[in-house]
Amino acid sequence: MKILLLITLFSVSTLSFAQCTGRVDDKTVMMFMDMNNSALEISAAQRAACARGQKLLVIPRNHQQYNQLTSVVQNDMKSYERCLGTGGNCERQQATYMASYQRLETFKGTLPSAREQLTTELTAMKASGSKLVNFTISGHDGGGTYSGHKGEISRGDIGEVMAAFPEVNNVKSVMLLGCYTAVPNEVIHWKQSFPNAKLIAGYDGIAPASDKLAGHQYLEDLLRREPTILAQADQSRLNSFLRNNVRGLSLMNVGVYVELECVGPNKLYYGLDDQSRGIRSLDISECNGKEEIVGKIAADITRYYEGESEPPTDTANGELRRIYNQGRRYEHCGAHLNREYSMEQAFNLLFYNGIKNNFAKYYGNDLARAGEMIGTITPEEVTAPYLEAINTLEDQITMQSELAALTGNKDEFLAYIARKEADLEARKSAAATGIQDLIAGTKQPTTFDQAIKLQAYQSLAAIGDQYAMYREAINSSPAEDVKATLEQISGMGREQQASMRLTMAQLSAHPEEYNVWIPNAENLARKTRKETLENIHRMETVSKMPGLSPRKLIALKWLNQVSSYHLQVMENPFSWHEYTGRMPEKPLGADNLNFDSWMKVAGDAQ
Amino acid sequence: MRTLILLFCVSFSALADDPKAILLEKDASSPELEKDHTVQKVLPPRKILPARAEREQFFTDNWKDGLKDYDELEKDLLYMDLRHKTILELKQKYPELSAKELEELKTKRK
Repeated sequence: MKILLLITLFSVSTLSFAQCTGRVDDKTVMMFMDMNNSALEISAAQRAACARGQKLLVIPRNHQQYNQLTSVVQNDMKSYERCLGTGGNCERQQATYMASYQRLETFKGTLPSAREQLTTELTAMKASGSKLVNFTISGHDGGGTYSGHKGEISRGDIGEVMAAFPEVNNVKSVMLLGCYTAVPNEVIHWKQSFPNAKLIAGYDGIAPASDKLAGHQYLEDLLRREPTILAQADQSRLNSFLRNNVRGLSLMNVGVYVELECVGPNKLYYGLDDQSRGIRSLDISECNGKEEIVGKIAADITRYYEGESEPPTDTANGELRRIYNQGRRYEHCGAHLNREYSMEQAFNLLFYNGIKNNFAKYYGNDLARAGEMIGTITPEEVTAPYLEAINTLEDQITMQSELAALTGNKDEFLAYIARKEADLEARKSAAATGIQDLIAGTKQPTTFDQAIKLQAYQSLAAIGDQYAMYREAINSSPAEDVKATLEQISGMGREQQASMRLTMAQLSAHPEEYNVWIPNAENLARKTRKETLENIHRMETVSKMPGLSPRKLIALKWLNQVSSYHLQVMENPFSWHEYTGRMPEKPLGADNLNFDSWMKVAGDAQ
Repeated sequence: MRTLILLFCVSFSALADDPKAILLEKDASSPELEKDHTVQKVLPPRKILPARAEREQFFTDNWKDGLKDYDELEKDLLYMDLRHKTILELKQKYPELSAKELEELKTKRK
């Protein structure tokens, strides 16, 4: 098997590094940094170099020797994995794999780092007066670092080394072979390392494995046709040329940045744009070094969005208008520099007063009805469930204390549980009236009333489970352990009661914490955005309080959703930015926020 | 016996359950939420502003001198208003552009 493998490797290397028959300019160099196992990609680059009459320099220099070792490792690994899949004894395959891996690591340990090798090659090129015109790198890419069996090197390392050899760095094309290597943000970074680059290509999604033909054809065609690509007259011709002359373009997630030599919009990018793949303008030079500005725009918009700064009433001037204009200019950079911000938010914030008035107008009647339904929330309403829970806990604690006292007499212990279970059965039977289908699970609750009844029944059933566990405990555990545990959990119950009493006291003392205001025109006019956001947050908290009536709860939930949708995240029609006094345009989410539909649910619970 | 303690501890939390909440959920897939709640899906966020490149191209192709001092916001507003407002409304809002120019822009915007 190994002989076969070696024959294959030999034939690949013979194919790859056959001498060029044409003239080769040794001082015009293309460089291929192979971090993984890219023999076939190197072959493609070699063919293109021959066609260009240029020299291909591969790092590491001993890549063929490396490839033999990495190929053995990969084959041994596959053999081991195949064996694991069969479920058999794989010790032999594991040992073989570990040994070949160790040989590779030992070999790697004798070599300088990738950065040192790059520095050595550029030093030699400088001494000989050579120029580097193309840079290609292949490997696994993770956040700008290429890695693989042959080591690793970061984009930052390469940039630093290249910056030290400006007289050598005459790179016009950069090929980035790996996943997500040529998304616009990556292109911007690589452009800083290779300022003369006019063609930067790679992948804007998952890349093909290094042994896939489409990837080799893509690389070879780009390298062979580089001058013709750059000479295209405009965006349309470039699009057509790429599609007709670069194989694999439509099969893979390619990203190609091109700076045409023509006048006009000449910085173009072929790649994924929203849902489709195509060519578009990408003036990334405008984004270079703009991280700080773009970051500030994003932070400024967030400051207004969070209500830390109040949106202005005057939209003609002021800070937010300046932020808007600046934000719109650098919007594309935000995406490329991973500092995305929403201009939709900025627009809504700038016209926040118009939005508020249109919101209040559109939902005016519904806001009033919701306000009536919610009314004032009293301390008694919100504390009632706590009081009920404290009483329930009291019953349980009493029962646990009585059981703990009976652990010395198993018969009495079991008789006590039997009496409790009989009582419980009567309560469960009463609670099950009318909801048998829900208990059996053949129907789901469709009203609040049904849901609450089902919940009450389930709570009783949970108590029954506790009795069963106590019985099992006394039958299977030493009496002193059962006693200790019962005393422990009744102690925890007392702590829970104390905690609930404290919560009740706090709720009684601070009714403002659970009373919301209705975001109608009058209130919105005098409340700040920060106060409005706090109110929306409070609506959400209060709408989960179990003591409130279903009518109040559903009105609070509607109020929370409608306020959040329009005033917090601001999903509003364009026309809502100015208030005309007429009935505002129906918003996109209006059907889902229809007050009457929501109230139908509450109505069922009456 | 540890199970006993756990059961005791969680009993109170059941009070807060609310199986009939209607939530507006932007996330297209929320099976966990749907188990306990009625979930209504809100439509995905809609972009109300035009693509800047598209807007710029439009004004380059249909240039009017009155546009020369327009900032980004004014361009966005005009570009959107051309589709939504009548000529009369446009004339009131953009007096620096003539009715003829506005009519021409509005026609091209369709």
